[in-house]
Amino acid sequence: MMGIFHNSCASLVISMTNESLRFGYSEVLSEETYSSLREHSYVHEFSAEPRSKSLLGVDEFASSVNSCPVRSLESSRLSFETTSEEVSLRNATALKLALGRAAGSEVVLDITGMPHNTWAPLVKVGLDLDADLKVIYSEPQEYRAAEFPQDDDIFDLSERINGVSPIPQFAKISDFDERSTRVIAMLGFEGARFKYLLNEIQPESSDIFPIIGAPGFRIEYPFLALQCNGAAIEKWDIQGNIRYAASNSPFSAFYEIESIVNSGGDSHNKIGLVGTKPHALGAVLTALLSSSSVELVYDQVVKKAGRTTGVGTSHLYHVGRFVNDVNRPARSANDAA
Amino acid sequence: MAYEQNVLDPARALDALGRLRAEWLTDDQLFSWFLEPKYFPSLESSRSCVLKGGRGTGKTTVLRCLSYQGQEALMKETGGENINLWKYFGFYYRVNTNRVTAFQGEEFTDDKWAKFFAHYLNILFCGQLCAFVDWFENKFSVSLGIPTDDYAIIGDTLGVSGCKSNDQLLLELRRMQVRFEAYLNNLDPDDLPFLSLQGAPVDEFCGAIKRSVHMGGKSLFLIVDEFENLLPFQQRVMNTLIKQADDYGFKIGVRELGWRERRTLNPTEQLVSPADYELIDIASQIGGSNFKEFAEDVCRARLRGISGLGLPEFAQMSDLLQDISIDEEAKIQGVEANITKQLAKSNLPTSLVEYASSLPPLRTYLILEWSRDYGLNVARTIEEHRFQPKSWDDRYGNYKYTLLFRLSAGRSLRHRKYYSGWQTLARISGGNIRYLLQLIYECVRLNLISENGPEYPISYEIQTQASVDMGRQSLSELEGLSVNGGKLTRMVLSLGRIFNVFSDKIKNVAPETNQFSLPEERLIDESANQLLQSAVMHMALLRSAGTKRTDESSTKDFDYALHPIFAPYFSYSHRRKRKTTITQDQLIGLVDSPRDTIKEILSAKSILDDGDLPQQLRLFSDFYDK
Repeated sequence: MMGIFHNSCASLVISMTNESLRFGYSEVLSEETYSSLREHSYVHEFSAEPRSKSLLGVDEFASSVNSCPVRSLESSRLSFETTSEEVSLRNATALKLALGRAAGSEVVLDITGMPHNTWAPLVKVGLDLDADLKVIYSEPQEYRAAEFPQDDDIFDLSERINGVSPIPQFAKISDFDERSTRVIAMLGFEGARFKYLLNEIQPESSDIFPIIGAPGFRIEYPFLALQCNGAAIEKWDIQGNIRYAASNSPFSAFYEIESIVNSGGDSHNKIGLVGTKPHALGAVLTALLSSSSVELVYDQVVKKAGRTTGVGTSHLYHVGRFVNDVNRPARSANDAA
Repeated sequence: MAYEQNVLDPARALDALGRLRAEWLTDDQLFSWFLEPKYFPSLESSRSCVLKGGRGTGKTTVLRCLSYQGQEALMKETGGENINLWKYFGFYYRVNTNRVTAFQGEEFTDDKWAKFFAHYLNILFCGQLCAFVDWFENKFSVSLGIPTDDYAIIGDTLGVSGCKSNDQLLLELRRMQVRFEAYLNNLDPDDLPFLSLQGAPVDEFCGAIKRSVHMGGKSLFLIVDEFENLLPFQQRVMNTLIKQADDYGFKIGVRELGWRERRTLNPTEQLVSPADYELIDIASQIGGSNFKEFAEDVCRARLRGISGLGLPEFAQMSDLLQDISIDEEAKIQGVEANITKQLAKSNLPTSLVEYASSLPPLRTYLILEWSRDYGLNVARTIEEHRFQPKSWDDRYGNYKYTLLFRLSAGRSLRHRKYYSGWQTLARISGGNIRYLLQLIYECVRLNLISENGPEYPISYEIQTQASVDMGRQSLSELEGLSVNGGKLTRMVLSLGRIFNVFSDKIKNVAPETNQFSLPEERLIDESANQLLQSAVMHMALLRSAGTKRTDESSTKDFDYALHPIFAPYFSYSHRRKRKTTITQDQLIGLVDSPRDTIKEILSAKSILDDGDLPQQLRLFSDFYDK
């Protein structure tokens, strides 16, 4: 494993350097930053994880924002509690209108407690609604250890995989030459999910690019991620393809993904979301902004209750500003050929 | 061995072997290594066919070689430029789960989604046909001569007017794809897009192609691989197309139990074989001796294609792989020392010791172990054998293989049991060419990096290590094969341990008990049924017809065995022999509470799981609570 890590150090250093150059898009949430969110609608969802509820327990934060709780329902539906409105997450127009009615035009979206199927479409329509959309994510303090830890199964995070199906508003049915497909996998601690993804996609090994979160939420996490995914990395002989992006930075992830996409010419790019939520956000931003062919692949994992404990650092991401600065129009709900 | 036909270059060979470990070949590899299986001519007929086979049985390779791109690569050396040599043109499509699952949800009924899906298939298949027309006209430098009126009609069926050419149709199809995708991402049940009629554009297009003078007598196939990835209502859409197709046929690739829906969109109508399609079951076609013959050809060709192996001249695979008989293995495992020690401690009369020593050592070992386990007087048992040897013949035949596991029990050995020889490796692969190739590659690789350098034939120790490694790798991969991967892994770990404990038992367990069935009297509930079906589909388990077979989906009437690829890893017999009964509750318990359930199943046979785990299973000591 150290060999694998050592070979990719150059990529890691470049990633960390790039991160430091992209200041201004990410900041740590603190008392100083709460005031910048004054009068924003704080769109959030409580989950079983304590970190999803932590910010509203901070008086200075809670008094700055207008609480706008949502609840994910079955069948890709979302309920806005303040307006008692239910809407389909697959209907971009209806979702945008509902979000506007519930949250107005200054939105800070806390994705910590939201499943991917909820926050990704909200980010998409939120960017249409609010050019200065902000996103919050709170790290956990700890992940739950597996009852029978193995090499590739150290933490006990998921109940099951429901199988690959598109995230609402991110379906891709345009067909391409499947033989020129690249896979970019945002990796986490669940090696089984990475293997499942590869079995679904069946790529050629030279076209698989794992992205490991480094620096991680904790100093040892990148090593654990490499260990948990080591079997697949070794089997596919893709040690040389490993890239790194800061675990808590969607923008690092975006740039890393973009560099892989740009090096692939006309290839179709499938991005597997099996890593951190900030990385998934980076992948979503790529899907929205890239002029190349990009497809998100998500295994619809069902997360285990009690998978994390405590609250770590909370981050504020200036997603709207980032999108504007990248200077490419975000794909809106009304885009068509 | 006579001479080297292949210069030894370990680094180069290891590099090539490393790249071959990945399951999916590049196009070049796939087409250049293709060896036509026995059933290929059936697939080439104009009839619709369903090719049923598990992962690694060569299904995708065969279907891709049936496509026009595949045929072009295969015919490169033999005159693919001559249009008269082409009998058919196939269009390959692999069902992509991330695409087809976009067509589901509470927004519409299944009937409505079926219309959406049918429209999607129309766009998809017509896009392939456009690409084919382009390819054909470039390759053979002739025009297919499809009239502009035909393009206009095809366009009309798709809801676009004014199509006059292939290029125009292709452009319209791309625009339709993008619009359709935009609709799916902004789903409004009150504002439906235009949906083309199921099959109509494909019928028109194939009809137009077939009417070309250059297509006289040639067939068109739509090849649909991984049919199991379709949702049930989508399978019905496809079944309807298969039933109604006129100017073209279908070649469907599907896993066992993956074809869940035989009805068409007409609820009273089913697809039946042979009326609607020919069923080609790869396991039946290439089973038994057919598989060994096919596998022999494939393995030889592959090995000869890898540079740097330093292979000696060999006529057949058995020349490269050392084989040892049961008696030879017993000798290696120390049977002679064992019986000498036991006889010395037994205080038997000299005549009996001499008699026992005159028998084949493994036979003497059985007599001694049988006496011990059944609490019999050793002298009397030997006497019984002396006077009635024939009565022991069947017993010896049944237990001989089991004794090899018993010899090593309780000893700290690298390998408790050896698995070697071409016949054995072919059996361990369970008729799966991918497993067998990977096993052979692993043997060759370990041989290359062995301390004393590569030696041929490859030793039984190296083959055993390769077999154990393959079992471990297959177990590790099981997790990622399906949504039930985690459950399947736990089930295999549990069953593997049970068969491992059974493997060296003489009393209370029939020899080589390595299969199970569920009691007929019990109703199988949905969760157990799904677990079994998933296990069979993803080759954690193999099943064979029990005594009373009813239909393919009935789980009551089959015997189940772990795939033999796991046998070396868990150290039990890879030969399919005898079975035990496991209840439905125990089956679920093996997944949900493995420690208690393993104990329960063993206790039912008065067996304690108090032995040590084989070395390779100590990684799972927490799982087994050892």
